[in-house]
Amino acid sequence: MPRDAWIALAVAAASAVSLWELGRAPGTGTFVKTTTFPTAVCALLLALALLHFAGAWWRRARVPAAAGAAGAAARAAGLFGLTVLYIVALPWTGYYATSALYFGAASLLFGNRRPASIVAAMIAVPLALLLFFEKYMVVLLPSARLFE
Amino acid sequence: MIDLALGAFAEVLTPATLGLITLGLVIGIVIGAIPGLNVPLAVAIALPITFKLSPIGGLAMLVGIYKGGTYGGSISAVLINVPGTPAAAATALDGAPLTRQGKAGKALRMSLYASIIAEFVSDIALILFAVPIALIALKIGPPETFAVGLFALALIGVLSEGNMLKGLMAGALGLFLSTFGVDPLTGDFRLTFGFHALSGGWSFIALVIGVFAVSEALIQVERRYVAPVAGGAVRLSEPQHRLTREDWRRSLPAIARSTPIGVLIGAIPGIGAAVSAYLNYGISRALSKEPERFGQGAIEGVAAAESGNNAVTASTFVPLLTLGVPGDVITAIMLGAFLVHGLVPGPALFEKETAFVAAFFAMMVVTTLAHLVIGRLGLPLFVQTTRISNKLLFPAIMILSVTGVYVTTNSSFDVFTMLGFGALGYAMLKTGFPIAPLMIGFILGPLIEVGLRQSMIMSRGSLEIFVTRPIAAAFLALAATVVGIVAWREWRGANVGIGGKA
Repeated sequence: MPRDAWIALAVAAASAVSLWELGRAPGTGTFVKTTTFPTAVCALLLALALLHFAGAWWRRARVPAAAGAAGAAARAAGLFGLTVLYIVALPWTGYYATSALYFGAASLLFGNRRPASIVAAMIAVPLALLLFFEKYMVVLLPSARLFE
Repeated sequence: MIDLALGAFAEVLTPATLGLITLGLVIGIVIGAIPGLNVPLAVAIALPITFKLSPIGGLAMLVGIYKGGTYGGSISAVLINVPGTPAAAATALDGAPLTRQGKAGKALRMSLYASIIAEFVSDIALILFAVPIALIALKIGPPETFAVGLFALALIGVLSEGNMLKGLMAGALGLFLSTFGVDPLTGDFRLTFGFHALSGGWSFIALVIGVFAVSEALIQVERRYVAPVAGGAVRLSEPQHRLTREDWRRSLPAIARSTPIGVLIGAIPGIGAAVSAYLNYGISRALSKEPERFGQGAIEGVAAAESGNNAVTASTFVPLLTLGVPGDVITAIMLGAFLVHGLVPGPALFEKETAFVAAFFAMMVVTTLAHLVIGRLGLPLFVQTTRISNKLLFPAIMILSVTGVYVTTNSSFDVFTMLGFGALGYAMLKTGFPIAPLMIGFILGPLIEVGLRQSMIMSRGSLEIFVTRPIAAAFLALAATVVGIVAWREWRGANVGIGGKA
């Protein structure tokens, strides 16, 4: 089945859950209630998603995976997971150290194999951002709670 | 009137605002010139930075990025045949052959001058036509607002890349996401699923940065082994890179024709720079006495594409400023900058914030003039940006994205939301769903909902109000017609593809 059919199915499922949530709320307002517009949009979305899913199912054909597609998807998943770790670690290990480590790891994931350029950028990029936001924009970035 | 104009230019011609215009233009040209990065991404990342600036200063930077980025895409299109922006793809058709002939400088210079001429005409059109349209728009009420919003969303949905159903689904998804949290009229909560963090709805900045910056990084990390195409050294001072009188003789008619068409396209919500560039390139080729030159390095092809491309940059603000309806993704993002500063685009803006509107117009003209100076002086440097490696660029963009959302919202939930929207954008891009309708739907959601509900209150619950008010009826009929025509074409196209001749 084509990948866009799975997207349509996921959207349809999310719409169905949201319709159930909207159905539980009483809704207030004159002539048109609080929940009327979201319910109408949600129902439209569900209908469009099911229509798209049905069309994709009708046209379904086995498409061979492109060479290297699994590795490419793994790298995208890796970057996503790395970013989750980065966001979780930020308040604990602080902005500068966490960003520097994230930059190095992400750069490797993007295929950079030149240690000198990675290390230079690991130092320079987070430092530039830290100075810009904390000194110029006067916005406090996360400090290292773990070491306080 | 003269006092207003003088005051407007005095506000814009300050060192701070000029500095922000320059910064925006440089960022825009550099981002536009780097394949894989695009103008909405740059505007989205810069948006949180502008929140701390003055309204005109912040918008000057964003407009600088917009104008610079729209032009910057042509640099990589000409030098390495990789368009920096979708709109620059038409420029590559003749720009890249000129580079192969050793005349890259001609193409780059013509790109710049054609862009500047088109931008200037577009600025003038904005100044001349925005106020009359705003005066008409002042007379429109909630039913018309609802109808215009729905029309704009339908237009953007059906004209986006991919098939119509995907465009409409993306638009409906954007509308749906906009309904989370507090009801704009009653203050009741809805669709919070019991989470307090959702009571304010989805963060706009998290959505913008997620679907543009994060999704692009996820796409690019998949292609890491595709070697970056480095541009060769170009010495712009050599004679073959200079524009001749013959080049101008061929190009000026193309610019004169493409610019007004581009201005008109920019003023219509949902069409955008890429369509304008291709349409004008096609028209110039069709009207040419030597159409066989197109695709082989015709300088007028570069002129037509670039003037068509940049002519939309000011006129796209006409629907935003006058009706409060963003004409494309970039103006949709910029709407956030207006709202953060307490400026609500729409007809009332022209009544209540006359000085701001005048300063905005002055800023548009000054940005175009600054674009000429920076574009010309910086050309030798900008051509080097095509050599920056994605392996360093995208990790920096990811850090900047996380930081941008964090400093704007100070909420870990919104940072995770950004990542979630990044995954959504990635999935949409991988499966051919357009991003623009999602963004426009999210922006137009409150406008459409409030328009609908106020109309219902006015008519005491009768839908007839949308038929009896001519402007509302006309826009709803137009929306239905556009959807109907595109659906019919797609259905016929599908049938021809399956059973008939291809």
